[in-house]
Amino acid sequence: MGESFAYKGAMVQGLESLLSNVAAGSTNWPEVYECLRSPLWYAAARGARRVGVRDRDAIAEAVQQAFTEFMALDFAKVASPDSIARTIAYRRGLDRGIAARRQWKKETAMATLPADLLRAEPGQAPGYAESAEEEYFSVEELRRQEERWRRARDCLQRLTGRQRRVVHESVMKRRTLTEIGNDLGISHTAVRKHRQKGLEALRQCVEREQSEEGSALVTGEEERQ
Amino acid sequence: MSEQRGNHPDDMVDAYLRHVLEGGEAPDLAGVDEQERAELQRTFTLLDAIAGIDADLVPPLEDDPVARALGFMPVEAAAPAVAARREDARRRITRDIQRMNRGAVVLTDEEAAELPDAPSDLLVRVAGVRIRAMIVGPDELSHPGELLREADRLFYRFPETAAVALVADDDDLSCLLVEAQDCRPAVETPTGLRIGPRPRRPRLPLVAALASYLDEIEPVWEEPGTIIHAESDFDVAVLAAETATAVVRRLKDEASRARIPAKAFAFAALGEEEVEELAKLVMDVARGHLAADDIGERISQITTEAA
Repeated sequence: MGESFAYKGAMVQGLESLLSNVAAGSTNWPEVYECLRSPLWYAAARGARRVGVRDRDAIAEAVQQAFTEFMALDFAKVASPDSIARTIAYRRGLDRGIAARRQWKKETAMATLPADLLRAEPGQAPGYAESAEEEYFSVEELRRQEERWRRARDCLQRLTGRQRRVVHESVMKRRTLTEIGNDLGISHTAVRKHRQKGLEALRQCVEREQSEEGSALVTGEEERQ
Repeated sequence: MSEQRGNHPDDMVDAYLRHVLEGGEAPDLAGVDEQERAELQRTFTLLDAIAGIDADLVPPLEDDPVARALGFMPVEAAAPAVAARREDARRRITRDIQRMNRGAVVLTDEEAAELPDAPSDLLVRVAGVRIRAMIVGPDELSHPGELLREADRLFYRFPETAAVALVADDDDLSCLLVEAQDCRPAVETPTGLRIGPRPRRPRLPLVAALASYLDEIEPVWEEPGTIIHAESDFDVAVLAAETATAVVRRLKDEASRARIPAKAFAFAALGEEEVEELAKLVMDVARGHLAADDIGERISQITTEAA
Protein backbone atom coordinates (compact mmCIF):
# COMPACT_ATOMS: atom_id res chain seq x y z
CA MET A 1 0.00 0.00 0.00
CA GLY A 2 2.74 2.44 1.03
CA GLU A 3 4.65 1.87 -2.16
CA SER A 4 1.65 2.64 -4.29
CA PHE A 5 0.81 5.85 -2.44
CA ALA A 6 4.42 7.00 -2.39
CA TYR A 7 4.84 6.05 -6.03
CA LYS A 8 1.95 8.21 -7.19
CA GLY A 9 3.07 11.34 -5.31
CA ALA A 10 6.73 10.90 -6.11
CA MET A 11 6.02 10.23 -9.76
CA VAL A 12 3.99 13.39 -10.39
CA GLN A 13 6.08 15.69 -8.18
CA GLY A 14 9.35 14.22 -9.37
CA LEU A 15 8.34 14.53 -12.99
CA GLU A 16 7.28 18.16 -12.65
CA SER A 17 10.51 19.00 -10.90
CA LEU A 18 12.61 17.15 -13.48
CA LEU A 19 10.85 18.81 -16.40
CA SER A 20 11.12 22.31 -14.96
CA ASN A 21 14.58 22.65 -16.54
CA VAL A 22 13.66 21.71 -20.09
CA ALA A 23 13.81 25.29 -21.35
CA ALA A 24 17.29 25.70 -19.86
CA GLY A 25 18.39 22.56 -21.66
CA SER A 26 19.62 20.86 -18.50
CA THR A 27 16.98 18.16 -18.20
CA ASN A 28 18.16 14.85 -16.82
CA TRP A 29 16.36 12.62 -19.33
CA PRO A 30 17.55 9.31 -17.84
CA GLU A 31 15.85 10.30 -14.57
CA VAL A 32 12.71 11.37 -16.42
CA TYR A 33 12.65 8.01 -18.15
CA GLU A 34 13.14 6.19 -14.86
CA CYS A 35 10.24 8.14 -13.43
CA LEU A 36 7.98 7.26 -16.38
CA ARG A 37 9.12 3.70 -17.03
CA SER A 38 6.21 1.88 -15.48
CA PRO A 39 3.45 4.09 -17.02
CA LEU A 40 5.12 3.95 -20.44
CA TRP A 41 5.57 0.18 -20.49
CA TYR A 42 2.08 -0.45 -19.19
CA ALA A 43 0.43 1.95 -21.64
CA ALA A 44 2.37 0.52 -24.59
CA ALA A 45 1.50 -3.03 -23.56
CA ARG A 46 -2.17 -2.04 -23.32
CA GLY A 47 -2.04 -0.49 -26.79
CA ALA A 48 -0.48 -3.63 -28.25
CA ARG A 49 -2.92 -5.84 -26.34
CA ARG A 50 -5.78 -3.88 -27.89
CA VAL A 51 -4.88 -5.53 -31.20
CA GLY A 52 -3.99 -8.91 -29.72
CA VAL A 53 -0.21 -8.51 -29.67
CA ARG A 54 1.86 -9.31 -26.59
CA ASP A 55 5.28 -9.39 -28.22
CA ARG A 56 7.75 -7.85 -25.77
CA ASP A 57 9.97 -6.58 -28.58
CA ALA A 58 7.08 -4.71 -30.18
CA ILE A 59 6.23 -3.18 -26.79
CA ALA A 60 9.85 -2.15 -26.18
CA GLU A 61 9.95 -0.47 -29.60
CA ALA A 62 6.72 1.37 -28.79
CA VAL A 63 8.13 2.58 -25.46
CA GLN A 64 11.30 3.80 -27.14
CA GLN A 65 9.40 5.63 -29.84
CA ALA A 66 6.98 7.14 -27.32
CA PHE A 67 9.73 8.44 -25.06
CA THR A 68 11.60 9.89 -28.03
CA GLU A 69 8.43 11.78 -29.01
CA PHE A 70 7.88 12.81 -25.39
CA MET A 71 11.35 14.37 -25.20
CA ALA A 72 10.52 16.55 -28.21
CA LEU A 73 7.40 18.07 -26.63
CA ASP A 74 7.10 21.72 -25.74
CA PHE A 75 6.58 21.35 -22.00
CA ALA A 76 5.56 24.99 -21.57
CA LYS A 77 2.29 23.99 -23.26
CA VAL A 78 1.82 20.62 -21.56
CA ALA A 79 -0.43 20.62 -18.50
CA SER A 80 -0.04 17.00 -17.44
CA PRO A 81 3.18 15.41 -18.74
CA ASP A 82 2.49 11.96 -17.31
CA SER A 83 -0.93 11.86 -19.00
CA ILE A 84 0.50 12.80 -22.35
CA ALA A 85 3.32 10.27 -21.93
CA ARG A 86 0.74 7.55 -21.30
CA THR A 87 -1.34 8.63 -24.28
CA ILE A 88 1.63 8.61 -26.65
CA ALA A 89 2.81 5.23 -25.38
CA TYR A 90 -0.67 3.72 -25.79
CA ARG A 91 -0.86 4.99 -29.38
CA ARG A 92 2.61 3.75 -30.22
CA GLY A 93 1.75 0.38 -28.67
CA LEU A 94 -1.27 0.26 -30.94
CA ASP A 95 0.88 1.20 -33.96
CA ARG A 96 3.54 -1.38 -33.23
CA GLY A 97 0.91 -4.02 -32.51
CA ILE A 98 -0.91 -3.49 -35.76
CA ALA A 99 2.32 -3.21 -37.73
CA ALA A 100 3.51 -6.47 -36.17
CA ARG A 101 0.24 -8.18 -37.11
CA ARG A 102 0.36 -6.87 -40.68
CA GLN A 103 3.92 -7.99 -41.04
CA TRP A 104 2.99 -11.36 -39.59
CA LYS A 105 0.17 -11.81 -42.10
CA LYS A 106 2.52 -11.03 -44.97
CA GLU A 107 5.11 -13.57 -43.94
CA THR A 108 4.36 -17.05 -45.13
CA ALA A 109 7.74 -18.53 -44.41
CA MET A 110 8.28 -16.73 -41.14
CA ALA A 111 9.94 -19.67 -39.42
CA THR A 112 12.88 -19.44 -41.80
CA LEU A 113 13.40 -15.70 -41.42
CA PRO A 114 15.36 -13.81 -38.75
CA ALA A 115 13.26 -12.31 -35.97
CA ASP A 116 14.38 -8.82 -36.95
CA LEU A 117 12.71 -9.10 -40.33
CA LEU A 118 9.40 -9.97 -38.74
CA ARG A 119 9.15 -6.79 -36.70
CA ALA A 120 7.90 -3.48 -37.97
CA GLU A 121 10.50 -0.87 -38.80
CA PRO A 122 10.79 2.03 -36.32
CA GLY A 123 9.14 5.13 -37.72
CA GLN A 124 6.66 3.16 -39.78
CA ALA A 125 3.37 5.03 -40.23
CA PRO A 126 0.46 4.01 -38.00
CA GLY A 127 -1.10 0.91 -39.43
CA TYR A 128 -4.49 1.04 -37.76
CA ALA A 129 -7.60 2.41 -39.37
CA GLU A 130 -8.88 5.89 -38.63
CA SER A 131 -11.74 4.38 -36.67
CA ALA A 132 -9.25 2.91 -34.19
CA GLU A 133 -7.55 6.30 -33.84
CA GLU A 134 -10.88 7.91 -33.09
CA GLU A 135 -11.94 5.16 -30.69
CA TYR A 136 -12.82 6.29 -27.18
CA PHE A 137 -9.72 6.37 -25.04
CA SER A 138 -9.51 7.61 -21.47
CA VAL A 139 -6.09 8.27 -20.06
CA GLU A 140 -7.63 8.49 -16.58
CA GLU A 141 -9.03 4.98 -16.96
CA LEU A 142 -5.62 3.81 -18.19
CA ARG A 143 -4.01 5.37 -15.11
CA ARG A 144 -6.51 3.61 -12.82
CA GLN A 145 -5.88 0.31 -14.55
CA GLU A 146 -2.13 0.71 -14.23
CA GLU A 147 -2.65 1.27 -10.50
CA ARG A 148 -4.71 -1.93 -10.35
CA TRP A 149 -2.06 -3.84 -12.29
CA ARG A 150 0.71 -2.65 -9.96
CA ARG A 151 -1.37 -3.57 -6.92
CA ALA A 152 -2.13 -6.96 -8.45
CA ARG A 153 1.60 -7.45 -9.05
CA ASP A 154 2.29 -6.82 -5.35
CA CYS A 155 -0.71 -8.89 -4.25
CA LEU A 156 0.49 -11.87 -6.30
CA GLN A 157 3.19 -12.37 -3.67
CA ARG A 158 0.50 -13.04 -1.08
CA LEU A 159 -1.09 -15.94 -2.95
CA THR A 160 -0.01 -19.53 -2.44
CA GLY A 161 2.80 -20.68 -4.72
CA ARG A 162 0.49 -22.65 -7.01
CA GLN A 163 -2.16 -19.92 -7.19
CA ARG A 164 0.50 -17.31 -7.93
CA ARG A 165 2.00 -19.37 -10.71
CA VAL A 166 -1.34 -20.31 -12.27
CA VAL A 167 -2.77 -16.76 -12.19
CA HIS A 168 0.46 -15.21 -13.44
CA GLU A 169 0.91 -17.66 -16.28
CA SER A 170 -2.70 -18.19 -17.34
CA VAL A 171 -4.02 -14.65 -17.00
CA MET A 172 -1.01 -12.36 -17.28
CA LYS A 173 1.15 -14.42 -19.63
CA ARG A 174 -1.78 -16.19 -21.27
CA ARG A 175 -0.36 -19.69 -21.31
CA THR A 176 -2.97 -22.40 -21.69
CA LEU A 177 -4.22 -24.28 -18.65
CA THR A 178 -3.06 -27.54 -20.25
CA GLU A 179 0.50 -26.25 -20.64
CA ILE A 180 0.57 -25.10 -17.03
CA GLY A 181 -0.94 -28.41 -15.89
CA ASN A 182 1.77 -30.33 -17.72
CA ASP A 183 4.46 -28.23 -16.06
CA LEU A 184 2.99 -28.69 -12.60
CA GLY A 185 2.04 -32.33 -13.12
CA ILE A 186 -1.62 -31.66 -12.30
CA SER A 187 -4.82 -31.92 -14.29
CA HIS A 188 -6.48 -29.19 -16.33
CA THR A 189 -9.37 -29.14 -13.82
CA ALA A 190 -7.02 -28.65 -10.89
CA VAL A 191 -5.35 -25.74 -12.70
CA ARG A 192 -8.78 -24.16 -13.24
CA LYS A 193 -9.53 -24.46 -9.54
CA HIS A 194 -6.21 -22.83 -8.64
CA ARG A 195 -6.97 -20.03 -11.10
CA GLN A 196 -10.45 -19.50 -9.71
CA LYS A 197 -9.26 -19.32 -6.09
CA GLY A 198 -6.19 -17.30 -7.02
CA LEU A 199 -8.21 -14.72 -8.94
CA GLU A 200 -10.67 -14.42 -6.07
CA ALA A 201 -7.85 -13.87 -3.55
CA LEU A 202 -6.11 -11.44 -5.88
CA ARG A 203 -9.26 -9.40 -6.42
CA GLN A 204 -9.93 -9.18 -2.69
CA CYS A 205 -6.35 -8.12 -2.01
CA VAL A 206 -6.41 -5.44 -4.73
CA GLU A 207 -9.76 -4.08 -3.50
CA ARG A 208 -8.54 -4.05 0.11
CA GLU A 209 -5.39 -2.14 -0.86
CA GLN A 210 -7.45 0.27 -2.92
CA SER A 211 -9.80 1.05 -0.05
CA GLU A 212 -6.91 1.36 2.42
CA GLU A 213 -5.19 3.81 0.10
CA GLY A 214 -8.43 5.75 -0.23
CA SER A 215 -8.60 6.09 3.57
CA ALA A 216 -4.94 7.14 3.71
CA LEU A 217 -5.60 9.86 1.15
CA VAL A 218 -8.58 11.17 3.13
CA THR A 219 -6.58 11.15 6.39
CA GLY A 220 -3.75 13.04 4.66
CA GLU A 221 -6.19 15.66 3.41
CA GLU A 222 -7.70 16.06 6.88
CA GLU A 223 -4.29 16.47 8.49
CA ARG A 224 -3.34 19.14 5.97
CA GLN A 225 -6.60 20.99 6.65
CA MET B 1 -29.14 -21.35 -13.83
CA SER B 2 -25.78 -19.83 -13.16
CA GLU B 3 -24.22 -23.27 -12.81
CA GLN B 4 -25.31 -24.44 -16.26
CA ARG B 5 -22.57 -25.22 -18.73
CA GLY B 6 -21.29 -21.98 -20.27
CA ASN B 7 -22.77 -19.92 -17.46
CA HIS B 8 -20.41 -21.16 -14.76
CA PRO B 9 -18.34 -18.27 -13.30
CA ASP B 10 -15.16 -19.93 -14.51
CA ASP B 11 -16.51 -20.19 -18.06
CA MET B 12 -17.42 -16.52 -17.82
CA VAL B 13 -13.85 -15.72 -16.82
CA ASP B 14 -12.59 -17.72 -19.82
CA ALA B 15 -14.98 -15.90 -22.12
CA TYR B 16 -13.97 -12.53 -20.71
CA LEU B 17 -10.27 -13.32 -21.17
CA ARG B 18 -10.98 -14.22 -24.79
CA HIS B 19 -12.90 -10.95 -25.14
CA VAL B 20 -10.03 -8.87 -23.76
CA LEU B 21 -7.19 -10.67 -25.48
CA GLU B 22 -8.62 -11.97 -28.70
CA GLY B 23 -11.50 -9.62 -29.39
CA GLY B 24 -14.22 -12.22 -28.83
CA GLU B 25 -17.74 -11.41 -27.63
CA ALA B 26 -17.99 -10.26 -24.01
CA PRO B 27 -19.93 -12.80 -21.94
CA ASP B 28 -23.59 -12.03 -21.37
CA LEU B 29 -24.31 -11.69 -17.66
CA ALA B 30 -28.09 -11.46 -18.14
CA GLY B 31 -28.73 -14.99 -16.89
CA VAL B 32 -26.55 -14.67 -13.80
CA ASP B 33 -28.07 -13.86 -10.42
CA GLU B 34 -27.47 -10.42 -8.99
CA GLN B 35 -24.88 -11.24 -6.34
CA GLU B 36 -22.82 -13.39 -8.67
CA ARG B 37 -23.05 -10.78 -11.40
CA ALA B 38 -21.61 -8.14 -9.06
CA GLU B 39 -18.74 -10.50 -8.16
CA LEU B 40 -18.06 -11.26 -11.81
CA GLN B 41 -18.09 -7.60 -12.76
CA ARG B 42 -15.47 -6.88 -10.10
CA THR B 43 -13.37 -9.77 -11.41
CA PHE B 44 -13.75 -8.44 -14.95
CA THR B 45 -12.54 -5.02 -13.79
CA LEU B 46 -9.41 -6.69 -12.48
CA LEU B 47 -9.00 -8.74 -15.67
CA ASP B 48 -9.25 -5.56 -17.76
CA ALA B 49 -6.21 -4.26 -15.93
CA ILE B 50 -4.05 -7.39 -15.82
CA ALA B 51 -5.00 -9.82 -18.60
CA GLY B 52 -2.13 -10.31 -21.01
CA ILE B 53 0.08 -7.82 -19.15
CA ASP B 54 2.97 -9.73 -17.62
CA ALA B 55 3.77 -8.94 -13.98
CA ASP B 56 7.42 -8.80 -15.11
CA LEU B 57 6.61 -6.46 -17.99
CA VAL B 58 8.89 -3.65 -16.83
CA PRO B 59 12.45 -4.98 -16.87
CA PRO B 60 14.96 -3.96 -14.20
CA LEU B 61 16.67 -0.73 -15.23
CA GLU B 62 20.00 -2.42 -15.86
CA ASP B 63 18.33 -4.80 -18.35
CA ASP B 64 15.98 -2.25 -19.88
CA PRO B 65 16.44 -2.39 -23.68
CA VAL B 66 14.89 1.08 -24.08
CA ALA B 67 17.25 2.70 -21.57
CA ARG B 68 20.11 0.97 -23.37
CA ALA B 69 18.92 2.02 -26.82
CA LEU B 70 18.44 5.64 -25.72
CA GLY B 71 21.94 5.71 -24.23
CA PHE B 72 20.75 6.17 -20.64
CA MET B 73 23.11 3.54 -19.27
CA PRO B 74 26.85 4.15 -19.20
CA VAL B 75 28.82 1.51 -21.04
CA GLU B 76 31.39 0.37 -18.51
CA ALA B 77 34.40 -1.74 -19.23
CA ALA B 78 34.15 -5.07 -17.49
CA ALA B 79 35.83 -4.66 -14.15
CA PRO B 80 38.55 -7.15 -13.23
CA ALA B 81 36.26 -8.64 -10.56
CA VAL B 82 33.59 -9.31 -13.19
CA ALA B 83 36.14 -10.94 -15.50
CA ALA B 84 37.34 -13.13 -12.63
CA ARG B 85 33.77 -14.21 -11.84
CA ARG B 86 33.23 -15.07 -15.48
CA GLU B 87 36.36 -17.15 -15.57
CA ASP B 88 35.26 -18.91 -12.39
CA ALA B 89 31.86 -19.63 -13.96
CA ARG B 90 33.62 -21.10 -17.02
CA ARG B 91 35.62 -23.41 -14.79
CA ARG B 92 32.55 -24.54 -12.85
CA ILE B 93 30.60 -25.19 -16.05
CA THR B 94 33.47 -27.24 -17.51
CA ARG B 95 33.83 -29.24 -14.29
CA ASP B 96 30.09 -29.96 -13.99
CA ILE B 97 29.77 -31.05 -17.62
CA GLN B 98 32.77 -33.35 -17.40
CA ARG B 99 31.34 -34.96 -14.26
CA MET B 100 28.27 -35.96 -16.27
CA ASN B 101 30.30 -38.77 -17.89
CA ARG B 102 28.68 -38.25 -21.28
CA GLY B 103 31.98 -38.03 -23.13
CA ALA B 104 31.51 -34.29 -23.55
CA VAL B 105 34.37 -32.11 -24.68
CA VAL B 106 34.23 -28.52 -23.40
CA LEU B 107 36.22 -25.94 -25.34
CA THR B 108 36.55 -22.18 -25.33
CA ASP B 109 34.35 -20.97 -28.15
CA GLU B 110 37.10 -19.47 -30.29
CA GLU B 111 35.00 -19.14 -33.45
CA ALA B 112 32.38 -17.08 -31.64
CA ALA B 113 34.97 -15.06 -29.72
CA GLU B 114 36.10 -13.46 -32.98
CA LEU B 115 32.63 -12.02 -33.59
CA PRO B 116 31.51 -8.94 -31.63
CA ASP B 117 27.83 -9.87 -31.40
CA ALA B 118 28.12 -13.60 -30.76
CA PRO B 119 28.65 -13.83 -27.03
CA SER B 120 29.14 -17.59 -26.70
CA ASP B 121 31.68 -18.49 -24.00
CA LEU B 122 32.03 -22.22 -24.35
CA LEU B 123 31.47 -24.89 -26.96
CA VAL B 124 30.29 -28.28 -25.71
CA ARG B 125 30.67 -31.22 -28.08
CA VAL B 126 28.85 -34.45 -27.25
CA ALA B 127 29.00 -37.12 -29.96
CA GLY B 128 27.73 -35.24 -33.05
CA VAL B 129 25.99 -32.51 -31.09
CA ARG B 130 27.33 -28.99 -30.60
CA ILE B 131 25.94 -26.90 -27.78
CA ARG B 132 27.12 -23.34 -27.17
CA ALA B 133 27.08 -21.94 -23.64
CA MET B 134 26.56 -18.26 -22.85
CA ILE B 135 27.35 -17.09 -19.31
CA VAL B 136 24.84 -14.48 -18.15
CA GLY B 137 24.21 -12.47 -14.99
CA PRO B 138 22.39 -14.15 -12.07
CA ASP B 139 19.10 -12.29 -12.72
CA GLU B 140 19.15 -12.16 -16.51
CA LEU B 141 17.30 -15.43 -17.00
CA SER B 142 14.15 -13.86 -15.52
CA HIS B 143 13.94 -11.57 -18.57
CA PRO B 144 15.33 -13.67 -21.39
CA GLY B 145 14.11 -11.46 -24.29
CA GLU B 146 17.49 -9.93 -25.12
CA LEU B 147 19.27 -13.25 -24.45
CA LEU B 148 17.02 -15.02 -26.94
CA ARG B 149 17.92 -12.45 -29.58
CA GLU B 150 21.62 -13.04 -28.90
CA ALA B 151 21.09 -16.80 -29.03
CA ASP B 152 19.22 -16.37 -32.31
CA ARG B 153 22.26 -14.60 -33.77
CA LEU B 154 24.38 -17.56 -32.72
CA PHE B 155 22.05 -19.98 -34.52
CA TYR B 156 22.32 -17.91 -37.70
CA ARG B 157 26.08 -17.53 -37.48
CA PHE B 158 26.66 -21.16 -36.60
CA PRO B 159 23.86 -23.27 -38.09
CA GLU B 160 25.46 -26.46 -36.79
CA THR B 161 24.60 -25.36 -33.23
CA ALA B 162 21.95 -27.71 -31.85
CA ALA B 163 21.17 -25.67 -28.74
CA VAL B 164 22.38 -22.70 -26.73
CA ALA B 165 22.67 -23.04 -22.96
CA LEU B 166 22.08 -19.72 -21.21
CA VAL B 167 23.90 -20.31 -17.95
CA ALA B 168 23.44 -17.92 -15.03
CA ASP B 169 26.48 -17.17 -12.97
CA ASP B 170 24.78 -18.21 -9.71
CA ASP B 171 25.40 -20.95 -7.15
CA ASP B 172 23.40 -23.60 -9.04
CA LEU B 173 24.54 -22.50 -12.49
CA SER B 174 20.84 -22.18 -13.44
CA CYS B 175 20.39 -22.88 -17.09
CA LEU B 176 17.82 -22.19 -19.75
CA LEU B 177 18.46 -24.41 -22.75
CA VAL B 178 17.03 -23.04 -25.97
CA GLU B 179 16.83 -24.29 -29.52
CA ALA B 180 16.56 -22.18 -32.67
CA GLN B 181 12.75 -22.35 -32.77
CA ASP B 182 12.54 -20.91 -29.21
CA CYS B 183 14.30 -17.74 -30.35
CA ARG B 184 11.93 -16.79 -33.17
CA PRO B 185 8.33 -15.59 -33.31
CA ALA B 186 5.72 -18.27 -33.73
CA VAL B 187 2.02 -18.68 -34.32
CA GLU B 188 0.24 -19.72 -31.16
CA THR B 189 -2.41 -22.40 -31.32
CA PRO B 190 -5.37 -22.41 -31.07
CA THR B 191 -5.64 -18.59 -31.10
CA GLY B 192 -3.58 -18.11 -34.26
CA LEU B 193 -1.91 -15.08 -32.69
CA ARG B 194 1.70 -14.29 -33.35
CA ILE B 195 3.72 -14.57 -30.18
CA GLY B 196 7.27 -13.47 -29.55
CA PRO B 197 10.20 -15.78 -28.88
CA ARG B 198 10.01 -17.70 -25.62
CA PRO B 199 11.84 -20.66 -24.12
CA ARG B 200 9.96 -23.96 -23.95
CA ARG B 201 12.17 -25.75 -21.51
CA PRO B 202 12.13 -25.00 -17.78
CA ARG B 203 14.97 -23.30 -15.99
CA LEU B 204 17.06 -26.02 -14.31
CA PRO B 205 20.54 -26.45 -12.84
CA LEU B 206 23.04 -26.85 -15.69
CA VAL B 207 23.64 -30.57 -15.26
CA ALA B 208 19.92 -31.40 -15.10
CA ALA B 209 19.12 -29.20 -18.10
CA LEU B 210 21.88 -30.74 -20.23
CA ALA B 211 21.11 -34.31 -19.13
CA SER B 212 17.44 -33.86 -19.95
CA TYR B 213 18.28 -32.44 -23.39
CA LEU B 214 20.90 -35.06 -24.22
CA ASP B 215 18.64 -37.91 -23.06
CA GLU B 216 16.15 -36.64 -25.61
CA ILE B 217 18.47 -36.38 -28.58
CA GLU B 218 21.38 -38.72 -27.74
CA PRO B 219 20.06 -41.56 -25.55
CA VAL B 220 22.74 -43.45 -23.71
CA TRP B 221 22.75 -47.25 -23.52
CA GLU B 222 24.05 -47.95 -20.05
CA GLU B 223 26.36 -50.90 -19.51
CA PRO B 224 25.60 -52.87 -16.35
CA GLY B 225 28.32 -52.27 -13.78
CA THR B 226 28.80 -56.01 -13.18
CA ILE B 227 30.25 -56.59 -16.66
CA ILE B 228 32.68 -53.71 -16.38
CA HIS B 229 34.15 -55.02 -13.14
CA ALA B 230 33.88 -58.77 -13.78
CA GLU B 231 37.35 -60.28 -13.81
CA SER B 232 36.36 -63.95 -14.10
CA ASP B 233 33.51 -65.90 -15.70
CA PHE B 234 30.05 -64.88 -14.73
CA ASP B 235 26.60 -66.37 -15.06
CA VAL B 236 24.64 -64.59 -17.80
CA ALA B 237 21.30 -65.67 -16.32
CA VAL B 238 22.14 -64.21 -12.90
CA LEU B 239 23.50 -61.02 -14.41
CA ALA B 240 20.45 -60.63 -16.66
CA ALA B 241 18.09 -61.10 -13.71
CA GLU B 242 20.06 -58.68 -11.51
CA THR B 243 20.18 -56.01 -14.22
CA ALA B 244 16.50 -56.36 -15.05
CA THR B 245 15.60 -56.13 -11.36
CA ALA B 246 17.76 -53.02 -10.94
CA VAL B 247 16.27 -51.31 -14.00
CA VAL B 248 12.69 -52.04 -12.96
CA ARG B 249 13.41 -50.92 -9.39
CA ARG B 250 14.90 -47.65 -10.66
CA LEU B 251 11.85 -46.98 -12.82
CA LYS B 252 9.52 -47.74 -9.90
CA ASP B 253 11.47 -45.23 -7.79
CA GLU B 254 11.03 -42.64 -10.52
CA ALA B 255 7.25 -43.09 -10.34
CA SER B 256 7.01 -40.84 -7.28
CA ARG B 257 8.89 -38.05 -9.09
CA ALA B 258 7.13 -38.29 -12.46
CA ARG B 259 5.23 -35.11 -13.28
CA ILE B 260 2.87 -36.66 -15.80
CA PRO B 261 0.24 -38.77 -14.02
CA ALA B 262 0.14 -41.44 -16.75
CA LYS B 263 3.91 -41.86 -16.52
CA ALA B 264 3.77 -42.15 -12.72
CA PHE B 265 1.03 -44.77 -12.99
CA ALA B 266 2.90 -46.76 -15.64
CA PHE B 267 6.19 -46.79 -13.68
CA ALA B 268 4.47 -47.72 -10.44
CA ALA B 269 2.75 -50.68 -12.11
CA LEU B 270 6.04 -52.33 -13.15
CA GLY B 271 6.87 -55.53 -11.26
CA GLU B 272 8.16 -59.10 -11.29
CA GLU B 273 6.52 -59.93 -14.59
CA GLU B 274 8.53 -57.27 -16.41
CA VAL B 275 11.74 -58.40 -14.64
CA GLU B 276 11.15 -61.94 -15.87
CA GLU B 277 10.37 -60.85 -19.42
CA LEU B 278 13.48 -58.66 -19.64
CA ALA B 279 15.75 -61.38 -18.23
CA LYS B 280 14.20 -63.91 -20.63
CA LEU B 281 14.88 -61.55 -23.53
CA VAL B 282 18.57 -61.36 -22.61
CA MET B 283 18.81 -65.14 -22.21
CA ASP B 284 17.11 -65.75 -25.56
CA VAL B 285 19.66 -63.48 -27.24
CA ALA B 286 22.55 -65.13 -25.39
CA ARG B 287 21.39 -68.63 -26.37
CA GLY B 288 20.81 -67.61 -29.96
CA HIS B 289 17.05 -68.14 -29.80
CA LEU B 290 16.37 -64.57 -30.79
CA ALA B 291 17.96 -62.86 -33.81
CA ALA B 292 19.22 -59.26 -33.47
CA ASP B 293 16.59 -58.08 -35.96
CA ASP B 294 13.79 -59.46 -33.78
CA ILE B 295 14.86 -57.76 -30.53
CA GLY B 296 12.92 -54.58 -31.31
CA GLU B 297 9.77 -56.56 -32.01
CA ARG B 298 10.11 -58.51 -28.73
CA ILE B 299 10.62 -55.26 -26.75
CA SER B 300 7.56 -53.84 -28.44
CA GLN B 301 5.61 -56.97 -27.47
CA ILE B 302 6.77 -56.69 -23.84
CA THR B 303 5.73 -53.04 -23.60
CA THR B 304 2.35 -53.77 -25.19
CA GLU B 305 1.69 -56.53 -22.69
CA ALA B 306 2.82 -54.34 -19.80
CA ALA B 307 0.46 -51.60 -20.96
